[in-house]
Amino acid sequence: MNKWLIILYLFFVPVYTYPQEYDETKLEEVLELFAIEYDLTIQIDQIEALIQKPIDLRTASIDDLLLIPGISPGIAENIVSNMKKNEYKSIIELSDEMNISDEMLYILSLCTYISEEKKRARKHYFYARGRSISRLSEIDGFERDKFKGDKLSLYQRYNLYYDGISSGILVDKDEGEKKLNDFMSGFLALEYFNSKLIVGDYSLEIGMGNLFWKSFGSRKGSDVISPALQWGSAIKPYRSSIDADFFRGAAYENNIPISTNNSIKARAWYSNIDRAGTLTEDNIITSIYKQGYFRTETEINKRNAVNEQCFGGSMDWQSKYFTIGATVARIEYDKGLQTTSKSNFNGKDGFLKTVYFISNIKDISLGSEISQDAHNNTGLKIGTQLVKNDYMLAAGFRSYDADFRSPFGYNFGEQSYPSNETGLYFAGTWKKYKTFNVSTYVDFYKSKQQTYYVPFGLRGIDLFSEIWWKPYRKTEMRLRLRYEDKSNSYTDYTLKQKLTYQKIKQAIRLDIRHNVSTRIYLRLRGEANAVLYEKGFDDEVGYMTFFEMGWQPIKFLKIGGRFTIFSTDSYESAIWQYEYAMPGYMTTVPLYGNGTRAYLFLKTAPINSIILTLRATYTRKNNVETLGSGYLETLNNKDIRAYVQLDIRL
Amino acid sequence: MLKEMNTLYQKSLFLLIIFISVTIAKSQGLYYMQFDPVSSATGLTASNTMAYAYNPSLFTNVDVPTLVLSVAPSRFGISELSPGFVMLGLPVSDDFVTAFSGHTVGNSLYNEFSGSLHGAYSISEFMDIGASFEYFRLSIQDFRLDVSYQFHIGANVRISDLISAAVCVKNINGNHYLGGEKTINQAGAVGLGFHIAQDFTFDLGLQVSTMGQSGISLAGLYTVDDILNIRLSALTSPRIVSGAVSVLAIPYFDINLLSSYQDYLGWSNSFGLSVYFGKVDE
Repeated sequence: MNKWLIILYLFFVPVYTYPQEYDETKLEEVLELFAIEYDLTIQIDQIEALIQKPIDLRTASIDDLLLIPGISPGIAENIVSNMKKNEYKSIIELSDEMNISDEMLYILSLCTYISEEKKRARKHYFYARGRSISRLSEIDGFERDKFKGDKLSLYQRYNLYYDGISSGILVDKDEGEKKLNDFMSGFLALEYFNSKLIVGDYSLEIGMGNLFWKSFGSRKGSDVISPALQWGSAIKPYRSSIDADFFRGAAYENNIPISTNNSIKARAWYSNIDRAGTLTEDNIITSIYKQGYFRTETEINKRNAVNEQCFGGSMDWQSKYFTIGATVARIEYDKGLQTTSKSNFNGKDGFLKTVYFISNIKDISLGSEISQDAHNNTGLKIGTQLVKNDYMLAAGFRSYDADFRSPFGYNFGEQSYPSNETGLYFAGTWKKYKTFNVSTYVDFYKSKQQTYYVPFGLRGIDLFSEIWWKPYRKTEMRLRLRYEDKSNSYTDYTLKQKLTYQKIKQAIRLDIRHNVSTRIYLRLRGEANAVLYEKGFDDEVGYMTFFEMGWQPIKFLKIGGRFTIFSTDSYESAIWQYEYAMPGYMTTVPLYGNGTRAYLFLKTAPINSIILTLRATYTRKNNVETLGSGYLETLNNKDIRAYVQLDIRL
Repeated sequence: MLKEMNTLYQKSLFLLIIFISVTIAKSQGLYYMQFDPVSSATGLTASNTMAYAYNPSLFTNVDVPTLVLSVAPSRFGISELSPGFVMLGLPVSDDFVTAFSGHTVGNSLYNEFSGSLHGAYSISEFMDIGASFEYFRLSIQDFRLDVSYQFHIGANVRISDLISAAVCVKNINGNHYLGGEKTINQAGAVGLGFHIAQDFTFDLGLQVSTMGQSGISLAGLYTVDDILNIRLSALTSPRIVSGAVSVLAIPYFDINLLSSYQDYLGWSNSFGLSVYFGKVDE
């Protein structure tokens, strides 16, 4: 009953005003810069929040700009100093001066404005979103009655902002889950003068992320510069449906000016939340469950397995040229955690401590953070950037003890959690010409101890280059090359032991987008990879090509689709593909085996405040009986899904 | 005795033809592979008009009514494997070209036939799109008669004076013969072509097939005094090298000779004649 009331409510809310619109296909390309093979939902949520409440570049601080995905301290400092020196009337003028890439210009135009533009400085808004995804193919979980709930998948989000006060409620049910509010999240945030208070669900970004960061940060990708020096900006309301790594309670932040160039930023927080996990008969938690699905009896039994309390505070001294700060947090569980995963806490309670600094002097930024976990294991991160109009350089170093446990931290490196890894990263971007630039990075890394997959520790080199060229105003090309040499292991059943080997993966991708007119675009891509094994397996290859078109026949209607053909020898040579599924929702699809994948979408805004998006996807593979695995395994070789989303913005 | 031997011979021949047909084209269409096994998505290195059938958007290059006849006698030394091809391209307007093509291979025992209708349209100075509808029929005497209907689409973008890019998708509707749900043959190709010099072009392509034979192609075309085209090409999977010569014998005719070597099946040759009912732009 509840769900129908909510759906009816979504349809009948009165509408008045103008929605901020963006080109979702362009956003897909832009977001793809931040990562190669990972989820980007958090970044989309953040961009959408900023679209609703954009930042005025005329008054923005570096911390404000760091809220924007893809903006690093060096770039933020450059923007702030350029805005102070010049009387830009538009973001394009700023972009021309700084030689900002098209992608960053696009993000800035969505998330910021200049006071003189007077375009979007709204004092209040209401935003509601409802989304449902239906799997039209039968899957194993329902067929064998493993799922306790019905097939409905429904995501609902409501956000309200009124002159410094913002609030949000998120209610989510995945297919197979029992209740419409299987996951609920909400917040109330107040921002007045220099202080911010959040009650409800929030995330923390502190220092360079050794201890506290949002659940997904930037990954290695074609934005090679900014991730090398990630700098936490603030406490933030939690807006995602990912049921992990957020806090529930209250957080307060105050920026206290001391003099013209000096201020103290203080934060304090308290969180009390039940986490899902695997509980043994001995009342021990052996793992924290972060997938967020509660469909089967086993999954439901993991729910609320352990209570976690976390409280802490931090204090940053911000001066004109540097910021230095320290954070201490205490974490307490009501049951002992004996976890093997290094992304989980180990023990029952303890203090997490960290100190960090960053300096921005002219075009150079340098940051570092050194942290200790509850067992005095150490993590160190150093990053630097040089940001010039014609080129940018970056370097980063990270080293975490093998047993460093930082349950809310984030690592920009080979693993996403900061533990058991030492690495050195170098990157550069040459962007002398507005229509041509080259980016490259190289990352060397090794683990200090064995990992889950590799018994003797892993080592690797990751080399990436991308050339972007815009020969004409309407056409963009992107050529990407990647080389990765990484340890892996296999079990030799004759010797009855695991053996390690090096696996080399080489990949090349060509992506072309052509805007036929303002209403029609074409995009095509070809990608190939080769996987070469030092021993143990035969070498592999993988190929993929897609063809995509979008058309806006009338102002309030967009239609389009993509058709992909792929052929790979196995999952090892899989090719990953981003898809901007719906506004605010992006999926990453690994394509392997031999088959095709297609999707069609329709987006319409019949009146200004309502956007309706429909989408259908179809995946089929040759010579297999089923697709997927586990409970989501289909009963034949096709996977068909339908998506519908309604956005209401007032 | 003689009759039994003939039957045995026919059965062996029948199995061999099926095996080779499947190996070459993985069946269900893709007949152009039998004439030009290293096709070019951009068409920049196309040595004759028949190559446009690979990517229907390339038919916009047909400026005058054009008739193409081609035959590949005794492919890999087998006389029964002699496919024939006919195509008629008709410009309807400056922006739109239509074409018809037909292809057949086999004998009374095993026969493949396809008939296609193509359309290509220039939607801007920089871009062409095209589509084909293909009727495909396979008949095996006293055994089966199968029909499939396939749509192919393609697009071609002139990125600059020096570079073109193209993409085509074969059998986008996923049609298949009866019982072939688990082995649908669909293919896609993306290519990048370069005008290195006025008389030399080359292109790099990626051909992806759901039947597992996917690879990278490379082809170069050298033009001598606008009357002779020489094309060399190679494909990584299946491994094929190919050479073609096209001669504009007199202004309204050209003759095309193509020879290719596949590391698994050996040599194959084809001969083609194009007739232009109008003056071809140089």
